[in-house]
Amino acid sequence: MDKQKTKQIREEFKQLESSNARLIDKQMEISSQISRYLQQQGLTQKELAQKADIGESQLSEIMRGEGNPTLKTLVKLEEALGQDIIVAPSFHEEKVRKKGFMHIPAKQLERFTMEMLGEPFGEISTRIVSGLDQGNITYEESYESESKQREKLPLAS
Amino acid sequence: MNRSFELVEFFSGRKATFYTVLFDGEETTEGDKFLNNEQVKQNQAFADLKHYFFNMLEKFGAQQQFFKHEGRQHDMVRAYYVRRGNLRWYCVYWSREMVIFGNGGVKKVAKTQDDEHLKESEYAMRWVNQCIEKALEEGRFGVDYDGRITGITTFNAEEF
Repeated sequence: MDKQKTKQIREEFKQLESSNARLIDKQMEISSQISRYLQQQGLTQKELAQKADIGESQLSEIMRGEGNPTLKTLVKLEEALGQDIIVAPSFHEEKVRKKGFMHIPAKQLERFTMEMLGEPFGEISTRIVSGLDQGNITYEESYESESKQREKLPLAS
Repeated sequence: MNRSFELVEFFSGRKATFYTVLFDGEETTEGDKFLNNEQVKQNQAFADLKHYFFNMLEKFGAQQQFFKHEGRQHDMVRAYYVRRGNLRWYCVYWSREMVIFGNGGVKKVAKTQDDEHLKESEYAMRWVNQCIEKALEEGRFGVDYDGRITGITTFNAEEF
């Protein structure tokens, strides 16, 4: 393998910047959320499309991370799933202000991206903890919004 | 296309590890050929594809819905694609944590079979899939929870 050439090709690829980056982030976030709920509820895309009364091809496009659904469509999907697809970070801000931290069940932790932690809670010291089982060891994952540092610590008994 | 090959690491991130294929006697991997294809590089959606690709690696994992089934029924051959640019990137989809990327290109025809290059790219991944399935049956191939290959990475054509 020509390592020099390979390195150059991959570096060029890494340097590419999409003007749609933020849009793609949101599209993938929405797709990812719906996918998680479908798995949790044992629903197929087809069943969800029927339940939400939207076209299968429209849902398929959303699921591929390429859709641009209207709020109305998202609400239909939320109603069909009985779950929020988009949660504004400020929704959690009050809890954080009162307690200084919030506890998130481990299975929901993936929803809280570092971006979400950094931007809305940047002004206050926020600590988000979540129990995470890995094998026989229980860890506490701690997120510090100000430093955006992520660390893994054994859970204090 | 029944040639010996090696699986080599392509890109890795927090959520997934992507591999690619280096066929015997070649200097460039299939994944790098795709990234270095002029038609692909000039495509309007190439930068978008890069963003999707790294989002899968770092944030979301390689979720199934981002891939289109393209091979035979029940095999693991998929096309990673961005519809707005008609880009097709053939791969063997193992899990959210591991995907093996091959070659691909810009699809300008209705059927993949009508484009020699795309057809070859797809068939190459069918061969890779076939070898992996056989090695898996024989207990010689595996992937751990982080998407790292634990078994053989070199596949000799004579054995498969």
